[in-house]
Amino acid sequence: MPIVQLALGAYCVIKNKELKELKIFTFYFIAGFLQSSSSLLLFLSKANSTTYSFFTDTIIYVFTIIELIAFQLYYFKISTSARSKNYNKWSIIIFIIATLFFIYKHNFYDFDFRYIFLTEALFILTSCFIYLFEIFKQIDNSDLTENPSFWITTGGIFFFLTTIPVNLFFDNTHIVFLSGKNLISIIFTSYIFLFLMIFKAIKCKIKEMK
Amino acid sequence: MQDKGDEIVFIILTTTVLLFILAVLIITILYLYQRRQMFYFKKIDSLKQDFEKELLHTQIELHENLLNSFSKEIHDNIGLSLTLAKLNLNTLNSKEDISNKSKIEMSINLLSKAISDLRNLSKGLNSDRINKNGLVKSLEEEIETIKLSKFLKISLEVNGVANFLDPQKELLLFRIIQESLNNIIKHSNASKARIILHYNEFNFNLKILDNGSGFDTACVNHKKGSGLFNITSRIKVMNGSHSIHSSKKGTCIDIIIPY
Repeated sequence: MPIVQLALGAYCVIKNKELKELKIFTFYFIAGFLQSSSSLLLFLSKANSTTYSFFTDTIIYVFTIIELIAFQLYYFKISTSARSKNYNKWSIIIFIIATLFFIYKHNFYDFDFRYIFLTEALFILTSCFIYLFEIFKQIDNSDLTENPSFWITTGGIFFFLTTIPVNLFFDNTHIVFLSGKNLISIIFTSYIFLFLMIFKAIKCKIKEMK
Repeated sequence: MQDKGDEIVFIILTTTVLLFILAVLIITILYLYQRRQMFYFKKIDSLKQDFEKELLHTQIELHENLLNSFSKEIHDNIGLSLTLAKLNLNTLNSKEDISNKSKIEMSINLLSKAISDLRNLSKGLNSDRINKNGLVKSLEEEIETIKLSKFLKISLEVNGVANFLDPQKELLLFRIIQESLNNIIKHSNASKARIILHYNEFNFNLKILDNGSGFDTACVNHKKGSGLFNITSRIKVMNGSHSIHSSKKGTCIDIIIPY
């Protein structure tokens, strides 16, 4: 994962000028790389479980916020309707305030981060569906496969929809962990698919700019 | 406990697969819908283009018919009247009055010039002549006529084997050249013009160059009825393409027409 994120981040930095509204995904990949590599380093450093849990949870929380911001800012830039733009703007604010409130209300060490992932998925999926609805309404004769936002939305829908069940039912403290710890691979597979879709969108954008 | 764990794993896997299928369905439906929309748009576009072409074709045909009737009217009616007037003047006996004689001679000369000019005009308007003689010969005749006016020095170059194009296309090309030469004489202040006909393997290339003052291609009037509009609409009817390069040193119109 960190290698893929690093490679994509580096590619985005090189092609920075041509990316325009996709520029935001450069930060997304770099943040993803920092999150994955720091989690890996923490794991290798064999820190005690409390420290390990505190740092990984914080890193994951920060990354989740960056992920949400990246998607919502992207949709904010490409959206044509004012309502949709307002939704993108307010969802970032509401998400940060709500998650901080939940974390504050519960004990940080006991807080189940799956709820943050689920809330994030709901917010981003709503943006994706709003965008799809806009495409349906649009009278346009352009090819969808040449449209970067179509690939971003495809990646977003696949990733956030398919990871909902894992986030909803999979509990580390539960006995499920023993039976289905391999289910975490769903998240990694979905991530790889999402990255591929973003990469495809970047390629489309570069082609479009040329 | 183990059974409950397996049950939850099963639920996770099933819902993941179901949601995956749902995502595939959503994206596929959207993609197919958009493709269908794109297909209809393309179809409408092509119908629109066909209709526009047909309309232009009819307009040009009407224009040609009008020119032909003008040509016949000039040749058969006005020309004949003038010739008769000239003959009548020739038969007038004015030996006694020298002042009348000079007036009659002057009138005869003016009538001769008018008859000759009208004949040339009639020739230029008549599409049958262009269809009969072909583009190159008709152009040579047209150039000779313009040369007589001494407004402009025109040269004609023919490269490649001068295949006979479709008569309709030859007529349209002739009209394009006429319109361009008319523009050069009227607006460019040019002293020289060159017409190059290039018969390539797969297309016909026409270049019209002049050494005039040029014009701003961006600001030029593309309104219906203008010279340039007539040129571009004729090119469109022939499925051709064109480019215009203009500077203070002159103008070059480059037209490519597929066979």
